[in-house]
Amino acid sequence: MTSVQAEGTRALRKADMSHAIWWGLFAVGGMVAAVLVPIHILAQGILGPLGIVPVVSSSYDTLAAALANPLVRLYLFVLISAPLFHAAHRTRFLLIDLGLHGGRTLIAVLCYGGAILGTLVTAYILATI
Amino acid sequence: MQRAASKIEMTTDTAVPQITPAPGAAGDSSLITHHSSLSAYRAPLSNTWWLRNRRYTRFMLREFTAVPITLWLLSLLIVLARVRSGAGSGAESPLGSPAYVVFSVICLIFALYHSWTWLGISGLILRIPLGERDLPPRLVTAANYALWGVASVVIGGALILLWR
Repeated sequence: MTSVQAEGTRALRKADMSHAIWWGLFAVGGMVAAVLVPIHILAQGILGPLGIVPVVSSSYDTLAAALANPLVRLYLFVLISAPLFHAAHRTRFLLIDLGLHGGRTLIAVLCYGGAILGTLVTAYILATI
Repeated sequence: MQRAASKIEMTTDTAVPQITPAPGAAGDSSLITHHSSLSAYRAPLSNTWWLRNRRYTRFMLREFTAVPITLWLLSLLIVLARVRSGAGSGAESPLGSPAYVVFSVICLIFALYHSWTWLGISGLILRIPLGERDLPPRLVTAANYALWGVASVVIGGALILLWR
């Protein structure tokens, strides 16, 4: 193998590594979004407010009581943060597909950076309630 | 686009990289180094290509589902951020308003479309080894739909019990 080829292979390996990490987070987030999000929206966003099932009261006091349980906080952390990485990955390629071919690096940084920021904010909010 | 990327990945394991040759470029080994710089040639394409046929539109719709899902989760995050100052004041959260229900219905439709498409192709993506072969994709897909059902019952039940 020539040195040019070896260099190319190394570059590909490095690209593979970052590709694997972001794709892995995309897959985990996609799974969380697919399995947990619909029932949560249905229960907390529709059936609860309509009074069909006694899911959540609209007052902050009952929310605070539920959030006293650390398992609820952990669940909410996963529910919110994992799909952010899924959305970041999809938005990244959605923007490119929609014609934003320039600034690919900037798009990637903004999308994944947004997901990381959102995760930190979620962790902070849930930790300080 | 991910499938195209995986085609490139496979070449790292072989002594001689095998990249599908572009028309008129067969046998030109200098293409390999061009390719490794990740600046592949891009055919010009109109920005409304995805409206051209129904399959492309469905693809875009599927990719777009991430947006309303994220918006709903961020709305939940905003409510959670207000809990500390709102608790004890007797204030109402925006969760109960009619506008929020409408917003949730729209987001739920997109979320269901994501679940349906995501779990539907999960059998082709998740390979579970079973002896010398993989578990049949249809079984993997069915198991994932079952997981969705079980998770929905568990989470729905927990939300009713916890947030009564």
